[in-house]
Amino acid sequence: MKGIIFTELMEMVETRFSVEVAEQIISAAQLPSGGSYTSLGTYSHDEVLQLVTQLSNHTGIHGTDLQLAFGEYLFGRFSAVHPEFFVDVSGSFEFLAKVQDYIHMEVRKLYPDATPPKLVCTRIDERQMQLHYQSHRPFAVVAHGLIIGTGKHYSENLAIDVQLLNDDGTEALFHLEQSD
Amino acid sequence: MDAEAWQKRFEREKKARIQAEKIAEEKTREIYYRNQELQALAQSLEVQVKERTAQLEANNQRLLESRNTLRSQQKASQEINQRLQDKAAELEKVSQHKSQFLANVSHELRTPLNSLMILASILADNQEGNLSAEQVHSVQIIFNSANELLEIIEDILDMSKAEAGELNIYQEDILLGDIWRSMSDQFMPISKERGVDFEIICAPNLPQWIHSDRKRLKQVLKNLLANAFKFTPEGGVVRLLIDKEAWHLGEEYSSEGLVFQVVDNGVGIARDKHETVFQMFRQADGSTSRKYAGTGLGLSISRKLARLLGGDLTLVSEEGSGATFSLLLPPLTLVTTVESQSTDSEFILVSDEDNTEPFDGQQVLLVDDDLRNSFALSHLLQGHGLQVHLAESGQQALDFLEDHKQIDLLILDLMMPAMDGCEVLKLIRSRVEFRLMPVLMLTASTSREDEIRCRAAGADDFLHKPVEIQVLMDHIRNWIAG
Repeated sequence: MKGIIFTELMEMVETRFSVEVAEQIISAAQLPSGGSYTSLGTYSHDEVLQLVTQLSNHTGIHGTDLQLAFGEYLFGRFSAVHPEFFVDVSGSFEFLAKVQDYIHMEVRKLYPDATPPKLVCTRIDERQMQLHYQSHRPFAVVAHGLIIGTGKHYSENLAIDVQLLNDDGTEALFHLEQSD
Repeated sequence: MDAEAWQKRFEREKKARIQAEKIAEEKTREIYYRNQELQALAQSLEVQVKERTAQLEANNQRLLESRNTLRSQQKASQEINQRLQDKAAELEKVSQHKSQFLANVSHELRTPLNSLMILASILADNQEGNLSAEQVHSVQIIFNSANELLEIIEDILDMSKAEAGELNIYQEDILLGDIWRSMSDQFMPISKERGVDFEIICAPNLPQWIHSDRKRLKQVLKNLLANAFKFTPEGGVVRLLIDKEAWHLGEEYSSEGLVFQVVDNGVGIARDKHETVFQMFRQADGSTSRKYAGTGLGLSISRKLARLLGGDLTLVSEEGSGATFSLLLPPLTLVTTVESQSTDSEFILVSDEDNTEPFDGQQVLLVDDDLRNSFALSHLLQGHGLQVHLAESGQQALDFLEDHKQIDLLILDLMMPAMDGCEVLKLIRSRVEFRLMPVLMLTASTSREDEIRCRAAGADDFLHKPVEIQVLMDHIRNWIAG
């Protein structure tokens, strides 16, 4: 997994909690990489899960909530770093529909060894859309957080219904509905 | 956070920085090498483009050269074509000249032969009884020799026409009886003279009419029979068998055709000489040429004629045990048109012996520019009781007719200077009083076109020189009641 996910996670921990918490969870997680992340590197996604588990243990906040928060935070960072992806895109449905064929395509061009998840959007009507998430990583909840971030970015009232299609969180069906 | 924790964090950040620097360094190098590869690729592409361009230019040059070569070849072949066409036109002209020359030679040879044969014939009759038997025999030899000369001329002319592809066939409906009776008339006397038995055997189911070329069919049969008599010793047998036979092309048999077989029990022909005898100027071998006379043209012409008639001429023979020549004619020979199925034959029966009454001073105008012919013919006709008037040219004939309108028969030569027989005939037929006057054309021309031209101009009858006395007299009798 790309190093930016790790550096962003640690950045979130340091800003939302503290540098001490960040140090403690790194030390407790006993990571193979030692936690010395750089956005240029590539690390195992298991380390994200270990860090989240340690953070949950340390703070008493549920792991799922932490993942959701991380997804939302990640979207904010993403929109700040890559404003070019938002040019001429007027809403969350339009943006989400572009992820698979445009953003993930660009990622693969830059990092040929990257394996981004598969996102299939099916528009039901003006206000409803179904999004099918499929990955070899158990990050359906992070994806959920990213979708929440998207809705907030466009200031939309977006109801998200999640249906996990298996136990490990590698596949999920999101039902999105916009309301005024 | 204590100093130890900060120290740990510092170490971790430092490690991360070194790792990032290492990755950046690797990426930088990678970019550098990629860039170099790209440059090399661009250069090699440039080289390739240059090479390809050079190749294309070379190809273009070659194509241009090929095009130019093709153009010059085309031009050359056009020139050759033109030369060939010129040559062909030249050859055609030469061939025409040759044909014309042969026609002229033929005409020039026939004209003196006509008077020679008629006069010899009259002399041989010895009506005044003042010639010794030996003299009569000599005159008969003169006649026979002249006759042979005539046949040789015919053969040479035919061969030359065949070589030039100008031998023409005129197929019409003819009476089969006319053919075999004509053969009988010609060869019965020879049979008696040579002491060779001669039989004509017709199959019972033969049609009355057949479709073929009368003259050519007779010519082939005459050649075959003359050959058979020539090579069959005294006491031998010559037969002419006429029958229908299944016609076949290669292995496939179709409906029936007509076959004429000339069978003899003479000297025969060795198997390896079978094809030789059909070649021009060839007999079975050199020595036979000594023993048996002949130009060696007859069988070659006969086979050519048989093929022109749509059929073939074949030979079955063993040395010493006779020969069978078969003239096979195709099934179409048996297909005749309905109109001709009447019994109205144009065939004028030539009587065997001159046992008819002489004429009673009927008036004949004989127009011929050759005085020897006029002399011979008038001598002959006067001998048969006709009154003969002579004219040397068309104009003389027209002048004569002005004063003598009661002419019973006009005998007109075709080829005459100033005005030819056909023109004379047209002028005569344009006069009402001469519309019904019988006109017999007598010419040394052998051309079928000439006969058609004369008949169109109003000729009632047409005979070739040299003419047999009996034939001429029978034809005259046909127009003047005795």
